[in-house]
Amino acid sequence: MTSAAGAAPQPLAGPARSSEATPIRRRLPLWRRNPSLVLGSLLIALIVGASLIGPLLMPYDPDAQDLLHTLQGPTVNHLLGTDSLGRDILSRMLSAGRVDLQIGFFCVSFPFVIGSLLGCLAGYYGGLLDTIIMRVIDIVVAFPFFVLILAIVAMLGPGLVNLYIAVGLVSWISYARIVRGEMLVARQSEFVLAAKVIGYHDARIIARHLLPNVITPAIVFSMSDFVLDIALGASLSFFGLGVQPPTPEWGLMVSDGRVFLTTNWWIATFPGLAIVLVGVAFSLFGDGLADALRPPS
Amino acid sequence: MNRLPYVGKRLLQMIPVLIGITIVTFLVVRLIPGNPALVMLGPKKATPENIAAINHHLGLDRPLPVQYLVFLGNLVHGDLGSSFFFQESVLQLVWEKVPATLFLLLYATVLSVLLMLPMGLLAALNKDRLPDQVIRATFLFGLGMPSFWLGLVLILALSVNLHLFPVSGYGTNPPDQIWHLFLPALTIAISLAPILVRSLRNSLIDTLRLDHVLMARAKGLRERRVLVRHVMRNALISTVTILGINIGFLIGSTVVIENIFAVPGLGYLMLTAISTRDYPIVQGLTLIFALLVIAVNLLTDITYSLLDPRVTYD
Repeated sequence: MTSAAGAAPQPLAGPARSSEATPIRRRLPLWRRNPSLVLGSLLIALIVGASLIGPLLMPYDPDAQDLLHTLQGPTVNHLLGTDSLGRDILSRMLSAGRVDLQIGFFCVSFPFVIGSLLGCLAGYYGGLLDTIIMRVIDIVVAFPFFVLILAIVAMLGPGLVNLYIAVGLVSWISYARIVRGEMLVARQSEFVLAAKVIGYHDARIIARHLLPNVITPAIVFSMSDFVLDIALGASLSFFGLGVQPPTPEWGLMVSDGRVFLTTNWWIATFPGLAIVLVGVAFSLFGDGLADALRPPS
Repeated sequence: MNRLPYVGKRLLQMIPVLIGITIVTFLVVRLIPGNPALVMLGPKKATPENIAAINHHLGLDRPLPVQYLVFLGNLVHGDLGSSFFFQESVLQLVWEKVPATLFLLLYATVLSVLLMLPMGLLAALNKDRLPDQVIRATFLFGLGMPSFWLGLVLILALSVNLHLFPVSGYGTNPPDQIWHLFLPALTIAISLAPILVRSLRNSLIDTLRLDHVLMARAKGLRERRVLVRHVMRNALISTVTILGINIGFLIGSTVVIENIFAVPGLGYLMLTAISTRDYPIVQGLTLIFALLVIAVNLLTDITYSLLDPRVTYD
């Protein structure tokens, strides 16, 4: 009973589709075997490349105002038009890419580390620690994800750091649940028994022997979580609680264009499409990853 | 069959979670950095007397456990505190906004089901063939689509360009409200659809593989009858479960969409309260939303146990 976060880690394809390791399948080139993975990787490379290199190539300073050329539609000079202050939308979108990808990265990495660690400990040791962690998870999932984030950010104040804190406080539960579930199964394995017999410490058994076996589903989930967090960051910025102007951010740009929706549609439309593109790229990649990492049956 | 013991056990099981969410909502306000009274009053009105008065009003001058017990005691009496901005009790303000939100939630759920059942069935029956791939490709675009942007695009296309629906508002009588809330509900339904259709598709594919479906087909039943009598009942159970799992997401979308379409509901109140730093309202609403999720989950479980009599408490 969690938000979309809980429902997400299912592969787009049904169980065991393109990864079935039949001899014929194995001989196919990767793009035939796993088109999602290839297409997703290419799109991600394109997006990351555009955000890193784009700002160096872009024709205008993203913050430069040009009050003589405000609210212009797409032209040769301004490929995606200009906003109400005459700023070039393409330049701002490229510059915003860095901000949005950074939001996705931090919103995923902190909860990933905290959640996986707690999930490992809860699943491995069980007992009181497990009970406490699971009770806390039960309580946190009772809140709608967006509402709880909104409430925490409302108290801490707007801004990116506070968004990261809020997401860190809430999002770890998904990772903890996934990793704990895997851990419960993996700790019964004979190689764990063998490692114990040899006399390895728990820390070594968890880190070296169990972690590689339990982390895969969490990695797959982190891709859909990334998509969710980019949309979350954009939504909070849209409502004035995330990135603050004049820093370009896609959600904020949509918010700027909202007033001009009826007359100058491009201002709000293009930054929104950028968010959609990132979503498609990471969803494809996540599905492909799920397929590729699924153990051969 | 008597479901009462099951319902009773589910209710008992909820008590620790209920206590937990009161603790979380109590603590959320303590996240305000520095002195909450100072933040609430702003620099102009923040005289020492005012700060002391606010601290006393909020009970902040007492130890934390005592504050929590007072908070809990007030809750039991239905007292969620009072709004700074509106000078009214939070419960009263919330109560006025509940109908719009519940109506929108219900409306969006109905549209979601109307959208997901045929799509999920079509995709599952044609697994890996063209219709399935088209549906999956379409919803791939929906996964990362922020609902606020989708709402704006729908406004642009259907309200501004085609003049089919109003841009915003709530309407005055039920038919008018159904018309006014169509676009907001549709936006929520579309943003939920990728998750719902995907889950339903996978669950239907599993159902279609089951022996009883094979049996129904083997004894020569028409495909329509197999689908309606043998597959749809299972699909209905999955639908209820999938909707229940995603209720938190549904409520989150409602908060966003109410603000895009100016629907006077709880989500609209929440963002208004955030912008005016009306912390008691934010706190009260956080609690109310969590209670809503718990209530829906309980309803889901009960519906589920009615649809599938094998379900028992374990």
